[in-house]
Amino acid sequence: MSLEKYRWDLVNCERCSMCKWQHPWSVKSRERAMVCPSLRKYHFDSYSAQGRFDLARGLLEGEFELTDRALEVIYACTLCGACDVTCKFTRDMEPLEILHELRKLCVEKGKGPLPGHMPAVDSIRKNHNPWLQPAARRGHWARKMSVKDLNKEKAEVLYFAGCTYSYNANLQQVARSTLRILQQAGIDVGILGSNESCCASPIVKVGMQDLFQEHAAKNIEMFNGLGIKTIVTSCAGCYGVLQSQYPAVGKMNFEIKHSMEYFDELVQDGRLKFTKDVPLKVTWHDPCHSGRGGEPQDLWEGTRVRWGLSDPPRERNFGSKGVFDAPRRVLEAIPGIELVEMERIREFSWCCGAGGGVKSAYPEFAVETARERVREACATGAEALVTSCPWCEANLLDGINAEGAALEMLSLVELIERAAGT
Amino acid sequence: MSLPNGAYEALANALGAENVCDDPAVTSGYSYMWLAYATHAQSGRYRPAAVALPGSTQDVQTIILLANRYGFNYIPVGTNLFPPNMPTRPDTIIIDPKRMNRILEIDTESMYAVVEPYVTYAQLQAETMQKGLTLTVCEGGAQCSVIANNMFQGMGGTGHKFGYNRGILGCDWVLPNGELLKIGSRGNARGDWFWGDCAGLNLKGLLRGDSGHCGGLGMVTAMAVKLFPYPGPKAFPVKGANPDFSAEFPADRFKVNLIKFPNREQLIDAMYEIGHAEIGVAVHEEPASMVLAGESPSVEHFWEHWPEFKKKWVNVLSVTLLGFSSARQVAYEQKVLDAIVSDTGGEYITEDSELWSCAACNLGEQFRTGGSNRLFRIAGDFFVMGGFGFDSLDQSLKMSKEYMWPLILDGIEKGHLAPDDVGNDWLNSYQLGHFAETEPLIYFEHDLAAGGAFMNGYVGTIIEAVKRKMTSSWPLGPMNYITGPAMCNYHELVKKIKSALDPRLTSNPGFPVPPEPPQA
Ligand SMILES: Cc1cc2nc3c(=O)[nH]c(=O)nc-3n(C[C@H](O)[C@H](O)[C@H](O)COP(=O)(O)OP(=O)(O)OC[C@H]3O[C@@H](n4cnc5c(N)ncnc54)[C@H](O)[C@@H]3O)c2cc1C
Ligand code: SF4
Ligand code: SF4
Repeated sequence: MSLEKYRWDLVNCERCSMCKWQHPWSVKSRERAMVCPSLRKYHFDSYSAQGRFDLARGLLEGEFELTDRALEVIYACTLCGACDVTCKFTRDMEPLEILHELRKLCVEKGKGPLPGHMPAVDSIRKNHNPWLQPAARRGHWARKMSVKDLNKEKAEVLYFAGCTYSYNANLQQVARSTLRILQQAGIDVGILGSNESCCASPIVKVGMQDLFQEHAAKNIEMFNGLGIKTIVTSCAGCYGVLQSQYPAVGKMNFEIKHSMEYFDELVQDGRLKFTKDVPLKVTWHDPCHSGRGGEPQDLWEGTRVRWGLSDPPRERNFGSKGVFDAPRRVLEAIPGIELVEMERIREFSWCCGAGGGVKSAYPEFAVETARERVREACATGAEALVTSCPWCEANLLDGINAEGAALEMLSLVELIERAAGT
Repeated sequence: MSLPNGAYEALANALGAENVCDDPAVTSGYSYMWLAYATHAQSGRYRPAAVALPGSTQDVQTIILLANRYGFNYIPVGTNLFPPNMPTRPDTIIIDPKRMNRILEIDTESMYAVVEPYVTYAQLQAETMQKGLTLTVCEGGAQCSVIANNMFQGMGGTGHKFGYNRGILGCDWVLPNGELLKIGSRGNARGDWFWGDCAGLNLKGLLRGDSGHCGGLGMVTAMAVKLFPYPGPKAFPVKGANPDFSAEFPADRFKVNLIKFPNREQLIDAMYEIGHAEIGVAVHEEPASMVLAGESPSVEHFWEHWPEFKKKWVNVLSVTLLGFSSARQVAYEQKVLDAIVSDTGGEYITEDSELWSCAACNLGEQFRTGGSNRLFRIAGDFFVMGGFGFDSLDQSLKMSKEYMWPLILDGIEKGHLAPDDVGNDWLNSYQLGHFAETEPLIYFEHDLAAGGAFMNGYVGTIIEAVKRKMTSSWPLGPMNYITGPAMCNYHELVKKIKSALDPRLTSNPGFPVPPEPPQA
């Protein structure tokens, strides 16, 4: 069992509870001190990284079985990684990897994924997207645009739209706008159209490692064959999995950038100019998978030796080197925009609630988590909540509607378009 | 791991099915503790029978009444860091106060706050700082529960000025028979929170002494705690990113001094003088391991730097000055401190030195502990070699040097303890040097031999403190049978109180004192 690799972590967790909260020095109020959505919802310690460590240790030791409740404890977690950041401040442990391992174990034992996950999993198998949409229609979002088809032509940049921006009628605009801005900035960019395939993030998140490997390997092979220098994606989920999980599957001969980073570079070097005022007070939501999850992982294989030292020494991922500054710089460069920050930001950002298969298996939990974020956004006095991830956008919009909040949900690129006057 | 017939259903009826759980997937989250493997060798063996989530004082009363009716045990917890919270009997439930997480009041005039049990120090202090007030945050970390920590220890940096065990005011306390007892001014006709005392005798003394009853006498459901003036920014002034944070307080009101002494005796002399001069808000000796751990983002970093650092950071006193009323207060206290340092042979570590930069988080940690759990980073497990705690500064030093350090060095030689042989402690002045508490910190791996060495040392220090006629502290549960006979047989009185308040022994039964002495 691969949980064995984490035995040191499991027996050395001292239940300090750091994983449940922002780092104490960053806490600004009682209301928004907590950082684990799962614990906030379910209250029992078991629904935190600490409790899941105990569950993992018990399973490793054969103390009990994978009950239905155990499956809930394992899957009612957004895999947002906030616990990973806060635990690592004091301890040399890997909560997020352990949470993934628990899911792999469920799959190995034939107990996972959950029924709620299966439509998306089956659809990825069949249609290469989780949305039960035909693969052939994947490129339709760009059908009225003139763009290089990388199945036939060469380009420096592949714009990887991802499944949600490709198929969700309410969000396709984001992909179109992004592509348009890249083209107008003179970037040599193309798309894969109906040959683009899911990044497989939803599969790896529910613990189906073998299927993920297969899917990711095919993607890597195709990407490597395109002769591109860069993949740009607007989806934080795609970005996170390409950054942190793909390197373990195979070597990649290109770099990966989130569109936020790319826009930031274009603004910095003057290729993207803002000519129009956008008078709006906005707050920025850091998506988990481009933020703390956007920091590359050390693919460490080794053991823990005397005093818990890692052998060979492991580079830890503290979650603070993800994509945090780029979107803020872009927003600040837009005339008229006033950026106001929420309490839980950057590596301590509160999750939107949709990740880790939660939106499909525990929709109520997903919306409750989004509502918490929406309330936090409203407390800043912002008129709009801005982000750059389709999962976050869709779920936060559900949260706005459920709260009845007077808050606009925007994608960063929409503001860029308004300011660039395109 | 089972409750008497009908008990679970009764709990579920009273609290709502979603607020009770006996599934091992959930109870396992309350079964495993740092250190506990030393005494409870088998992991997971002590899962609670169930976990209950009360939402109110009334819910707590209901749970406790059901425990008496059906005959099961319960342990109230806060954030549940502390090993005696681990159930050792099969029919024990944990009362987890996650749903009792409100700050009921912050009174800026009378300077107190009223909290429920799942409010942490970080949460409370974040709110009080906005109102210009603060409180002592425990070294266990600002992520601990204010009530739970006050029920057990309540020690932290600013205890030099703000006192130890002086912060508890009015309380609502559900006794082990289910009755609600209101402590201090809470019992007056207006139900005030502002005062911990009341007319005549005060039952507050039953809540705790040097440490608490470890959940053995019911559950406190709301507590008022004393607040103190805080002249700093409304939000904790944190800078940086994980794992390197710093705190930047206004320099004219907040000042930390790090002072090196030729030996610990001179360091102690300085601590006495500082107390006599009534200056400083936090005053303590800080051992090299604690300082380096506080600055280490990884175990690898710690051990790479340890061999050099331990030679440089020896006999260092940290003194924090706070200008409650004005910047002139800091200027005045600094002058007094300069004179004391000069008289006692100390030497300031200068702010431009490498050593100073190794203690960058020192000032912030005095006010809101964020990094103390990094002590676990050094070897996996950590604790204090000793069940001796409170006495005079002189006695603390003597006990540490003569008894505790030889024990530690022996543990290092046998390979049980990590090689910290510097011989410095975390030694704290409380109430302006009126008394002190010393913690020789030890670090060890999670194995039975090391855990055993620690446990034997812990009990050994209690026995030794008794021999030396010192005030040994933290004798947990059965250890009171060692300290009791040396201290007017207080344990017999505590046993009588336990059986009067908890005749069915439902409230963490082995605490504060088990009915019978341990067999071995
Ligand atoms: C690295 C480290 C350093 C530490 N240093 C210090 C220090 O310097 N100063 C200090 O004060 N402590 C220190 N501690 C110990 C720490 O104080 C206690 O572990 C602390 O109380 C933990 O808070 P908690 O919320 O987890 O309490 P818990 O562990 O949940 O509870 C503590 C005790 O109080 C009882 N209890 C909890 N809530 C209630 C209630 N509502 N009513 C009645 N009884 C209750 C519990 O049964 C338990 O016995 C340290 C711990 C660590 C790990
Ligand atoms: S922060 Fe890490 S060590 Fe602490 S309780 Fe959580 S998982 Fe355990
Ligand atoms: S990944 Fe997020 S939801 Fe899951 S345990 Fe960690 S903090 Fe909680």
